[in-house]
Parts: sequence; C-alpha cells; structure tokens
Amino acid sequence: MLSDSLTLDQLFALVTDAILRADTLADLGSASAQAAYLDVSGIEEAITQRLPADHPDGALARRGAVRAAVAAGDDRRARELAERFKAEPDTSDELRREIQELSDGSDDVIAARWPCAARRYGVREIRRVTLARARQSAPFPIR
Amino acid sequence: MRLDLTSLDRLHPRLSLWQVIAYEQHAASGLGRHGHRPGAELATSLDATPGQASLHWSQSTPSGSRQLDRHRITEEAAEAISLAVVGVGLGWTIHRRMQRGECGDWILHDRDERRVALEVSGVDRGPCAQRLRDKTAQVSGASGVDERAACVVELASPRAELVSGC
Repeated sequence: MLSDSLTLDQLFALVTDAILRADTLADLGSASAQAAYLDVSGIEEAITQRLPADHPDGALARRGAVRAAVAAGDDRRARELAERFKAEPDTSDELRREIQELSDGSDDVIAARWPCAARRYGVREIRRVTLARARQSAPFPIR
Repeated sequence: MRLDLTSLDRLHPRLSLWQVIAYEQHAASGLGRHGHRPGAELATSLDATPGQASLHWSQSTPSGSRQLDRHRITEEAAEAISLAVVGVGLGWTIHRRMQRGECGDWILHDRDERRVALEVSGVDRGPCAQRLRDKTAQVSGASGVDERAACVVELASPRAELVSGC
C-alpha cells in the first residue's frame, strides 16, 4: 500500500520508474518481471484514487492498473479492478469498453499459460479452480 | 544544439538517476559500435526542418551493456537521444511513461502544458522512412492527448527524425 502523503508528481515519477523497470525485467526474461508489473498496477491504482475517470491521466491510470495486473498474471486483481472502474459514474462508455477489453485479454493469458486445460475445460473453469485454490486453506480437494 | 546525455534528468526531472545512467550507457554503446565519440554530430529533422546537434556522453566503455542484446541497446540509445532532442529542441518534458499497448512510449508536456504522446524507435543502420511511418501510425491511436509525435533515431549516421501532428 502506497503512502497517502505521496503527491501526484511523485506518483508519476514512480510509475515511470516502475514501468521502465518492469519492461526491462520482462525483456531480460527475469522471473521478477511479474512482481514488477504488480508494482506498476499498484502505483497506477494509487493515481486512480487521486484523479477521476474523466481526467486523461485518470483514464490512463485505470487502463494501466488493469493492464499491469494482466501482465503480472494476477487475473483476479485485473478483473476486480476492471469491475470497480467500470462501475464508477464518471467512466465514459469508451473507457468502459477499453477496460473490459483489457480484462478479457487476461483470458488470452490464461489460455496461453494452460493451453491443454483451456481447450478441454475452458478458461472459465480454469479461473474457477484457481480462484477456489487461492481461497481454500488446504491444497485439496477443489470442488 | 548541444545534447548532453549525462544530464537527461535535468531536462526531464521525472527520470530516475538509474534510468539516466542506463540510457547514457546504451547510447554510448550504440553510438560507439559505429565509431562515434562524444561530440559526434547528429543530423536532425524536426517536422521536416533540418538541423544539426552535437551529442555528448561520458562513458566510453560501458561494461553493463554487454549483457544486453543489440536490439535493446539500439532502442534504449534511441530513447536517450529522442528525449534529449525533444527536451532541448522543443522544450518538451516528461510527464509519465506509458505502458506497452498504449500506442506510445511517453506522455510529455510542451511549453504550453499541452499533452504530447511520443513514440520512439531506433534503427541501427539504414533508412528511417518506413519505421517513421509505422510509428506515426501507431501513435495516432493514442488517446487523451493534444498532440501526437513519433521520433526515429538511426545510430550509424547518426540522425534523428521527428514528425508531430500524427
């Protein structure tokens, strides 16, 4: 959780630094890239808390928070952020559509990560099982 | 026009020091592999207006760049030179980095605080025209900005071509 005392200037500098770092790690094939994109998503989310959806930087940050969560492989976070942003009253129809497309893009990430399971059971079932596994205290059984 | 790659953070205060050092290292490596030395002349074309600049950097043998591939060095060198060109030549300053997929690399503010989306690309050697067309088309999709621009840097010459109003 980022400090509330950070200014927007500081957040824009932080998100710039975080994006450059995450992209560098991704290009190098580093296992740390996913964690770095999660940092990006968190900073973008902090910007959304200071700027409304109808501000150009607010809209960019909302897309960015979802986009980075998808890049981090955190499908649950991506969908939760997308639902929250789409429900905001000052979100335009165009931004809603863009956020939905980004969130749907996480389906492609799941299908690419587990291609056989995606073909056999579908992305929705994979999502249900991974969510159930994350929520239960023991690894088995998943119903 | 003097473009000092050692002080990109003075032109763009939102760049972190590590990124400025990395940009300088990669520019030194990318330009160095074509035999260029600090003080090299850069041919510029800003919206078809030709010009000249001198490029300055301090690191001649960047060991860290050996770990990076040739393509990445070209792209990072292009970023460094482009940010110097738009900072010194046009008075644009970095507002924030855009994520991949956002139809641009940077959002900058011009002298009138208008928002400019900038897409940057690098070419090691050869013509820039097709790359500039591709990048112009890419940045034309950027939303929430007042201006769109693309800049392509070729390292062998070296030269930088920028088109705005995309």
